[in-house]
Amino acid sequence: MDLMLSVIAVLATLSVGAYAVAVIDRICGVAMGGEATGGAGVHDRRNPFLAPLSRAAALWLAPPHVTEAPDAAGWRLAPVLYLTLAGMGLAVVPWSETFVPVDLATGIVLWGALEPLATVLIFLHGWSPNSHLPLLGGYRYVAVGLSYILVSMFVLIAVALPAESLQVSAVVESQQELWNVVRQPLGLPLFLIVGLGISFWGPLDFADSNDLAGGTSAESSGRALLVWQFARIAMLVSFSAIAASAFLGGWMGPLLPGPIWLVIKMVFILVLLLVLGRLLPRLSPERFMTLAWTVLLPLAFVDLVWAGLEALS
Amino acid sequence: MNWLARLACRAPVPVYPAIGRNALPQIQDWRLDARLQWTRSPRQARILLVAGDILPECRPALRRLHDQLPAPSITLWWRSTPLAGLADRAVVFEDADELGTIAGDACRSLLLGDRQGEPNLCPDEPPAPFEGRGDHGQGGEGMMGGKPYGRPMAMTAEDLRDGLELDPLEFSIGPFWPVLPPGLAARLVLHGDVIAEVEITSAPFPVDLQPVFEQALERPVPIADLEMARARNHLRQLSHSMWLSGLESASLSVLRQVQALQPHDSISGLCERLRRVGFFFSAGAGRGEISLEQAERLGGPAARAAGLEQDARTRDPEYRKLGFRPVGGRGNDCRARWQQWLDEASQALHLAGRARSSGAETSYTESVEAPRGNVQCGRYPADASAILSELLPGLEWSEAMATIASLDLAGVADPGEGRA
Repeated sequence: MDLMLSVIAVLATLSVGAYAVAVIDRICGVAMGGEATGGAGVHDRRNPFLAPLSRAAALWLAPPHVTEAPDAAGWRLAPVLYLTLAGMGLAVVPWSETFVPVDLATGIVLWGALEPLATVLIFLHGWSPNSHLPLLGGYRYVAVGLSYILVSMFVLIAVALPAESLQVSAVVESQQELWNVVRQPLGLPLFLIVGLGISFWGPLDFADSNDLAGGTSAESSGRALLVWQFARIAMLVSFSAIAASAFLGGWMGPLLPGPIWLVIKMVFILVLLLVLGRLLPRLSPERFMTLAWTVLLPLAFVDLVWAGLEALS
Repeated sequence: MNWLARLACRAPVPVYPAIGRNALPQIQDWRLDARLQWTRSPRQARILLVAGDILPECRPALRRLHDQLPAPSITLWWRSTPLAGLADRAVVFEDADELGTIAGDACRSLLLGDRQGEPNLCPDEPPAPFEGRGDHGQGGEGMMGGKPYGRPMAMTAEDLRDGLELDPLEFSIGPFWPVLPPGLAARLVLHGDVIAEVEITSAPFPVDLQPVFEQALERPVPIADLEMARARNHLRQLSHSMWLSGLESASLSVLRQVQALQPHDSISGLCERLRRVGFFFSAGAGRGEISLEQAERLGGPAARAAGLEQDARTRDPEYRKLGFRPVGGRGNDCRARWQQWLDEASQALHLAGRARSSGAETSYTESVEAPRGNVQCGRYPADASAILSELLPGLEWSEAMATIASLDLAGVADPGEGRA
């Protein structure tokens, strides 16, 4: 029974969350003047609540496309496995004191492990269509992947320190008195970059960018593309849950029940990520790597030392 | 009518553009139409839009592009002659405002199964047969290299960067890739994501001079009109560079601003916004440095940014009366050229404002400074795409694409040579 409830909670959060992200992104876009609004009789297309559904339906019905001699299994599996990673990441996040879909003693380590695995899958998605631009997207992602994954490791270890545990529920409870966003001020900003990286969103969209005609998804169409886009948004949702738990006190909050608080905090993180995604341009991979290794990584060290000193005192 | 198909009919129509001669500004205007969704790859489109005249040498590429849309698909022709093989069922239209409706109807008929897609134009066979040298008949050595199924496979050779023998990958891009200027096609060799070799296989389509600049060669024209055309042109170019760097929202709002642009408008808000979000550090900044000789060949804003004081407007006393002095000298890389567009657009709006109030007209008709560069009767800026083979090697992919987008490469068509 508990297992059923856990599975349903994770799947429902991913699907409702992905829909919510699409709606929020569209509202952000309209507010920032970045959505096409011209043309006669487009009022129903401007409806942000219907637009994601109609686009999904259009992709579902669009014809599939196969390249010459692809790695068919890899090409099909990559989006599904990437979606699975998003689900695994979400499963370790506690919704209340008692309800944690999978209360893994090493939840933080699991998150650390998801990030390199995501790199493998994004490369697989770029490599398997047997085409140039997707392959370049895959190359590029692998090249920059490590530079944000390391940042993520240090930042996550830093939140585990005050909790004296690698369990996500313990990390949430350690924020009873003070949220980590205040206790470790460098943590959340650095972790947001990880969020943009793992879902290759906005300024960190090195895998599926415009200059590669869509990168790893340049050869995808129809349902395969729908699953890939869904998985990418689901990863963003999953990331927002872990970020809310690690830095914003997760399910804790006055008056309202735990799950509601978690959702409110997730939406806050998502809005931040989506606005950043629309606002910031993409650096060249080389410049990002320089920034990551010379600025972000040292800052992550500082964050860890800060957390250590704070834990000692 | 299936409810899913009905829902799908409400989505914007996925269209891939094959951009022909002089169609780029219209394509950019269409980006603001919410009924259309411009796909980045032909694989994701259901409608192929051929806009503008396609030169005969690019027609084979258009046939291939046509077949790259997953079937069933429909092709629409705007100011273009349909390909042989599609002529009997071609949807041809003239009025740009109609695209939203026509594309919507076409897509709906595909979704509801009312209409068959178009037949493929190329034979369904690998462009290069899977035979030749190599252990697996792929044409390379060992298990590497060659062109299995027409897709070049990486082969070892000396690497540009670190001396490791890595993976040169050879392939072609263009001439209908919206990231590049319309008509530009190139054969590339890449080491990883670094460009090692560029060979231009098709130059960008020559662009017609805008009427107002052509008139300026014959008689005095209002300076305000010239400068507004210049400001619009530069902002359009900038919006493409912004789109390329991932600033899609901001790029659309620039296009919207272009449509409503008036003399005296200020773009300082845009400059400030771009500076704040770090656009001037995005891919391409500090790269794509052109030599003085290349700057000379390019002319226009790129040359002025690189420090060449070439501007036909300095010879016009009317411009001098308005206090015109060329801006430039910021540098020879992409960042300098983005800033140059902004500076010149801002200056053009200011000049247009002053000229509109005073009713100033040009007084010098020997030559005119068009957005692309200096135009004299009988001497039009020539295609400059050849400089890419010197400029791009050594650049990482996104820097190379940003560099191409930061340059105005297409030649200006000589009206004397029988414009279509």
